[in-house]
Amino acid sequence: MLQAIPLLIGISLAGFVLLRLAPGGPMAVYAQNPNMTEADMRRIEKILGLDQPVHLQYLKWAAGMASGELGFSYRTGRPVGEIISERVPATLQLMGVAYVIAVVLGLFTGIVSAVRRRSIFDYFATTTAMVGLSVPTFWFGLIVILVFAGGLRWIPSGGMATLGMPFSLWDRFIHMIGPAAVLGLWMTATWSRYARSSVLEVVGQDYIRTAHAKGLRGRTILLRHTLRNALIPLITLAGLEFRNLFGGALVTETVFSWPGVGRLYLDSLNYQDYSVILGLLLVTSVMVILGSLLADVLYAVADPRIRLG
Amino acid sequence: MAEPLTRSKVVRRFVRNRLATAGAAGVLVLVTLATFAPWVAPRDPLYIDMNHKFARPGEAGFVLGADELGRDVLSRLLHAGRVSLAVGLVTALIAVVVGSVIGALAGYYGGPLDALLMRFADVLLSMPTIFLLLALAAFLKPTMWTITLIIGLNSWMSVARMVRGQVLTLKEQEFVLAARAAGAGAGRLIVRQLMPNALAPVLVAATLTVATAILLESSLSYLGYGIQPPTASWGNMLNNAQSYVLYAPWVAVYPGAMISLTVLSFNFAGDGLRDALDPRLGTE
Repeated sequence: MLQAIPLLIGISLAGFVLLRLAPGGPMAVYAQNPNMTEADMRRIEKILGLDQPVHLQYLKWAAGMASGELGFSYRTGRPVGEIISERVPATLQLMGVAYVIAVVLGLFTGIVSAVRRRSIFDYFATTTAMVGLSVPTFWFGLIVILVFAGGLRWIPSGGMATLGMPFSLWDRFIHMIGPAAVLGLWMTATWSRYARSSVLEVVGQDYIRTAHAKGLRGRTILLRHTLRNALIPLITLAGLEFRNLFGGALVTETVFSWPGVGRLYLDSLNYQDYSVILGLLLVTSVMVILGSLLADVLYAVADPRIRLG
Repeated sequence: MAEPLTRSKVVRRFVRNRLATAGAAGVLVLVTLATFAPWVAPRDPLYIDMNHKFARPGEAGFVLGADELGRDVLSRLLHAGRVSLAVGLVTALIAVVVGSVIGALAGYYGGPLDALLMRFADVLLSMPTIFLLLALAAFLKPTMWTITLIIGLNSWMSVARMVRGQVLTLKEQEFVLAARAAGAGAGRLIVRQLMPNALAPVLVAATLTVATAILLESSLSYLGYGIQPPTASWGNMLNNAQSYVLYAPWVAVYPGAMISLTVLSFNFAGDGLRDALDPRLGTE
């Protein structure tokens, strides 16, 4: 529980260092203005506190971050927090749907694979999962566009809505299929692998053998004894996968022109809008940390043997 | 209790695993093709021929077609393989060296050094990888070497955790205590007594790191922040591919297939290696 605090401090330190690594440093935005004189630059540096010792600068900057002040966009001058929160719903929708696909499909194939170990289904599922982990997401997305948007014309090739059309749930759904399927199936591979090995681990335990010896029905053993114990450790995976989910979302959003935070990040990189870049890096990292924290708490709730330290 | 595995037994178990053998064979073929790319490639991968822009596969001697600048896709694939494989292999090397050193130091010395190094790994593990790599690549000048370096410096954490765990369990065992009693210093103990015992899992991790590194490089290059044109990498050959994938699919299909094939080969080989080296799995 408490290890989240040094992590957050570490993340903020990394962000601070990155800001100084950026070409031109934090003054880059003002240096772009041709009317700026050297004296103006020094004056602004003083106002922003950049003439102070580095550790004081860091403390001030970290205090601002902690109170949710992420600074202003170099490009548009708008508050970074506002720019990011506009894009969050699109990404959350995509990630949410993809996550549901991954968990449902992944658990199902993983459990069946483990129960029917060394069957044709198991062989097929594990090989497919390995292929899924080896195919680059962006290429998988391109192939989906090629086949389902180009050849079959079932789905649009990108975007979040048809241009000029009023919002409708059906329209959003049609646009969601491609990116959500790509992101979801990619994560399904990881989930099914973990589910399989977790179930296999439990199947080999003594208490399962005891249950068989007692003469319980296979179905009862699977549902009441095996799965209950095998699925709890996967809560940890749910937290860990959050980090990959963001990376996968960035790539998927780019392929399908989905206007979420991933696209915002790339656009900001192209415009060298460093304050937005760092703001997003910090926000996503904090969300990853909160995600694994939440997973730890849920784990402790689900498994009474674990006590929060 | 599982009996200890000899080297020939490990080899026999690896070879009996069909997917692992296929993976190893795939790696061998790909590395050979990449090594001899300049002699195997039918054309100059950089030669621009606007008369044959988007030539179809088989047309005018372009076996796999031509791209948006009329460059030969097959020749570019072969040359790009050198870049992608080199980045993957060197990255794995960096990850293994950095990870082993950090893991061994943390495990051997423990205390505040251990805490500091492991928190550092945790910080890197909580930032979304692609986001961090993109920022670093944009801030530094993206060349083949900086790309390799930043991916490598973001891939050592799992190796470090593993080596640390191994060192922690081994450092109080008799053979280490005996070596210490005989006067061996920390450096000698780590290099001669502790690291050889961590070799098997490190080897597996290295193989799997090559796979992830190739995927990361291709993503960065696809997004425009990896290997810079005109040098071809499998990732940057797909740059802007979504704008013409519908009317020139061959330009988009082949590079991705090469990435998938390569990564799959390394993953199968790595998985097979893990199974072959795991003494808990029955020898049958």
